[in-house]
Amino acid sequence: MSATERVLYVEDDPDIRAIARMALEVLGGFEVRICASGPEAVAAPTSFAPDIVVLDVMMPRMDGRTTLAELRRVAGLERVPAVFVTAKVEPDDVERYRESGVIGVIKKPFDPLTLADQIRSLAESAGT
Amino acid sequence: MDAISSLASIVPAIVLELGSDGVVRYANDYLEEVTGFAPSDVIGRHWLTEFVPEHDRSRVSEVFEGAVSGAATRGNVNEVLTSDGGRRSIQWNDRALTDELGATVGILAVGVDVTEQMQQRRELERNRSLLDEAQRLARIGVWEYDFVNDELWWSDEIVELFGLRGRPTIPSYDDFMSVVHPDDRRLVVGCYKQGMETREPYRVAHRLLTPDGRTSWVEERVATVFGPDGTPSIVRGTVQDISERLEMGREIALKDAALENASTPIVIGDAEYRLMYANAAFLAAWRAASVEQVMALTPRDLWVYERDEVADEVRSMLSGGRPWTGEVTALRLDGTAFPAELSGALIHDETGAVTYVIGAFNDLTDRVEADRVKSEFLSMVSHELRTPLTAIDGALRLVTGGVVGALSDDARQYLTAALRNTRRLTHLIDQLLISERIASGHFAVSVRPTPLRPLVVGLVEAHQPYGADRGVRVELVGDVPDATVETDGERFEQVLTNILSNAIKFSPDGGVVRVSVNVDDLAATIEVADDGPGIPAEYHHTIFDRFTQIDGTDSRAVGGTGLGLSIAKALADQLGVGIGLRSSVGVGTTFSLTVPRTRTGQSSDPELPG
Repeated sequence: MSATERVLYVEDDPDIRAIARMALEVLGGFEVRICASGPEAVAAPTSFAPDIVVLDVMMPRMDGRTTLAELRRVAGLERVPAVFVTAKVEPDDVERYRESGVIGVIKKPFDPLTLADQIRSLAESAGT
Repeated sequence: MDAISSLASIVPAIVLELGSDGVVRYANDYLEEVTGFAPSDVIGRHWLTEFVPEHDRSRVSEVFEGAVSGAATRGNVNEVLTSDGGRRSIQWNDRALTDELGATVGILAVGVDVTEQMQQRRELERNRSLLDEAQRLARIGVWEYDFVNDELWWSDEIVELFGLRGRPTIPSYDDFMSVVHPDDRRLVVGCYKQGMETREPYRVAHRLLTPDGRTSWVEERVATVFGPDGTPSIVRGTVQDISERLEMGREIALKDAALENASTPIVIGDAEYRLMYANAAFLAAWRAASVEQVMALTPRDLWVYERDEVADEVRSMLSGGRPWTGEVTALRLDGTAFPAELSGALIHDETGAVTYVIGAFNDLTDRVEADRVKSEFLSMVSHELRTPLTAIDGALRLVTGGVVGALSDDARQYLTAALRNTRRLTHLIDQLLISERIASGHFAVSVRPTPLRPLVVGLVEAHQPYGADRGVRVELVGDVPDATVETDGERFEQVLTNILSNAIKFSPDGGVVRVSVNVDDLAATIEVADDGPGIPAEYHHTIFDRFTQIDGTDSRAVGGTGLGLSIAKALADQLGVGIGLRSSVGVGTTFSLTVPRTRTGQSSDPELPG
């Protein structure tokens, strides 16, 4: 079992990106690559091989689920663990997210002080 | 006397000579033919007391006294006993017998046997009174016109129908025409003339305007009898009052029109659920070109229930005499479908047997669409609000968490207030969303055996830090029994959470919220007691409504959304959890939740009989 150290974070809202960077990089000690859109994320892995992918769901043009599907077509990321961070957390939605093969769903607003811990524990319980 | 005797021996009549004392002095042989008594049986015996039955005796005695005092009496009929114990009816003509000095010495009575005629007359009278009664009950009158003798006769019921009671008139054609409604006279005369020409019986319905000002409807049936020479000899008819029947018919026609023009689709089936009728609204909603198109189908072709078994449930409910209302999917004839609410009911006849089944539909398309739009809107709003809240909340948490450096006390105080309010806003959005989902029936619950202890202990512990923030102690009183309850663990937690946080919010600084659990064979009861201000009695029935506020308290001051208890109640209702409230102003409030226990052995196979 390798430790989760490299996080690919996809989020279209710049303010939330800033908070996520602080939460994961400064407080969590991850190596973080943050992307502002799905297409940007799909292009990223060639230079950044993430241990886990964290995605916002509701994004313009390419949403979180499509982005995840695209990422999984990239060589080496076929089975990369993924977590959705979303403001849309009705039971039906959560059910659909899980069908996309994510190991967890984190609800917005999230607590930046504990976000890194949350991701680490999801990764651990998923056996990454 | 000899001449009289010989005459008396040959007339076909009884001849009696009675003394003024009533004793028989003479009787002819004919007496024996009628009564079986020979003259020798009666001579010397008292006629009245020995040969007249008791019920006729006083009447006959009066006639006898009259005859003795000189009055000739004719045509009186009385019964006479016969030798075989029977009776015969005899019609008498009497006259007094006098001596040479003119004094009455007895009477001579000549009697004719009228027994058969009397029987026929009684029979006739009975028939006549039965006919009269039948006419009266059916409100049918009969009449007859004899062309030969130019005589019109009609029955009492006609007098009644024509409102001519109390007018002593001989029936006449003019009397009849006077009560026919003026507007209908031409019709009545026309029909009569036509009937004479065609020689066929006919019927005509027309109005009567009776002398008392009443208008009624009658039906006449008329038939004419023609003589051998082709001229009419007798015309007979009946007149029946049909006002009531018409009124009923009119009422039925009215209801028919109401049914046909109702905007609600309605179908009627027979006791076997075969379709018999569909109104215009049904044909339109199902896009059927004709009623025949619908009648060729079965209910199963026209709508389906959520599950197949519901159809059986509906039948059994209806046959139990209970109406049924529920949602179905209506299947249009063009292959499309729409959601509908179906209300079904059975119609029974006076013996209680099912005669018809009626179904009325309510198209739910608009409601379902409105629900969808509302739900989508709320979902969108909640997402659009949460995104900026994530940035605000995240930033505040980072700053107040000391991540970006130390804060002055003032800065910390203000930023903490800001953070607290973003949390409240988030909470409010969550609650609104849940509340809306419950209200629209989109909040699924899944009831299964759930261990109670970890749930209650976990929730109490989870609320202790929140209580501590407000200076409120949250404690478990006594043991939590190790029971299993029938509920949806996640939803039940939500109910208990809302009750607990409500208790904490309304507790004073230094207050205590006590949680206790009691179980009996059937249920577990969880009580949450606070020592807050209490809820005045007049609010007890509205406290579970959305956004209820009690005068003098401001739920916002304690961070409430006004939705917590309404959500708890709605969820509890959905779970079959009883929710109770005891409260005294100034003492505190106790909420109780009663949740059914899982019956032991519930999951094991039932024992097979034998």
